[in-house]
Amino acid sequence: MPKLSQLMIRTALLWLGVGFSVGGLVLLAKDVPFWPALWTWRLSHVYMLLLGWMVQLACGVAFWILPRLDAAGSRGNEQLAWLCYGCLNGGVALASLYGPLAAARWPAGGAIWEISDWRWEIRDCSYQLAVSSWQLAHRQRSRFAGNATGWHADRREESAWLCAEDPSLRSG
Amino acid sequence: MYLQARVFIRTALAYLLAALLLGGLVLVNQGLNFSPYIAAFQPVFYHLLTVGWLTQLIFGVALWMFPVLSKQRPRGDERIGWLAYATLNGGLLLRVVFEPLHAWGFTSVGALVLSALLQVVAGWAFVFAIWPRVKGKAEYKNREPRTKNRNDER
Ligand code: HEM
Repeated sequence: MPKLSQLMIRTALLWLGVGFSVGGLVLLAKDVPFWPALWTWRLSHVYMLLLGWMVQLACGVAFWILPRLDAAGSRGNEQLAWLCYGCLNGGVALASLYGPLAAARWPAGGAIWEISDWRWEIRDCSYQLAVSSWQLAHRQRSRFAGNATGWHADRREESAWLCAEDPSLRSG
Repeated sequence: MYLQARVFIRTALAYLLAALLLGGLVLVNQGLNFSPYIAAFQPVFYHLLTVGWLTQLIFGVALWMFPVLSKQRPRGDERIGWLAYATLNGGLLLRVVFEPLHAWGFTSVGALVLSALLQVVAGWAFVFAIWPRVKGKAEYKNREPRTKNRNDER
């Protein structure tokens, strides 16, 4: 598994853990309402889980297993895929903080953080960049048909290796 | 496909069916308004789809196809995977029953607290189960010389 896929999948796993924990707190607060502002974290948990967890996991796995471009195993333009990693996570972090920060108040009632619309625009631009860089990076790989190198060949090699000593694994 | 992956994926398919039936009901009710109670199922519908179906399917497929850990224990400690399975489904089922009841004004006697805790444990258990299997070069590549044509091994 290439470095970038490892990083994307691990970051996705962290968003899974954090997103489930935030969702868990919001659910728990339905029974034991201990902090009203927790409700503003509801949308944060949606961004963390839909984009940070699911979309990012799909990207990490795709970068790993989609057919390679040539016999040397090239994965296309990796810089663009790294750009996607940065933008996707920047966007998820900004989107997750937006709700809670916009709702935060000093005891006297004033807003702690004056949030204007341009912050939304950074988040949106960030998502746009993530999507475009991803598409550019993967345009060719999703069309390429051969799989003599890459994930499929690796799995064949791996199962041959596992089955060599334990034939009972062969059917699985 | 080994047993644990099959169990995750079959359960996920059952949730897909349940989610689509419930989602259909919620949407039809939004148009025809035949019962004021049905709207309370909206969050349940979302989570049957995203937790019961999508996340559970991902768990099963990842446990099945991520690189193996070692020859002796290809998938690491499978008990962590079973813990994730039990807590994810226990937590989600509790939510399916008690979240609508809560919305209709009944007390849920701590069931939603338990549901939340179970699901949080499920999320982190899966993270721990799969984390060591997110890794670079597989062991077999370091140990055995490559064959001339890898397709011969099919
Ligand atoms: C992949 C996993 C998940 C996804 C994609 C997801 C997505 C969503 C979505 C789309 C909403 C609706 C937000 C709205 O109506 O504005 C929501 C609400 C909510 N989620 Fe999740 N969720 C996930 C997992 C969880 C988990 C594991 C928990 C609890 C342990 C949780 C707790 C909640 C709560 C309490 C709400 C508010 C429900 C309400 O509106 O009454 N979520 N989630």
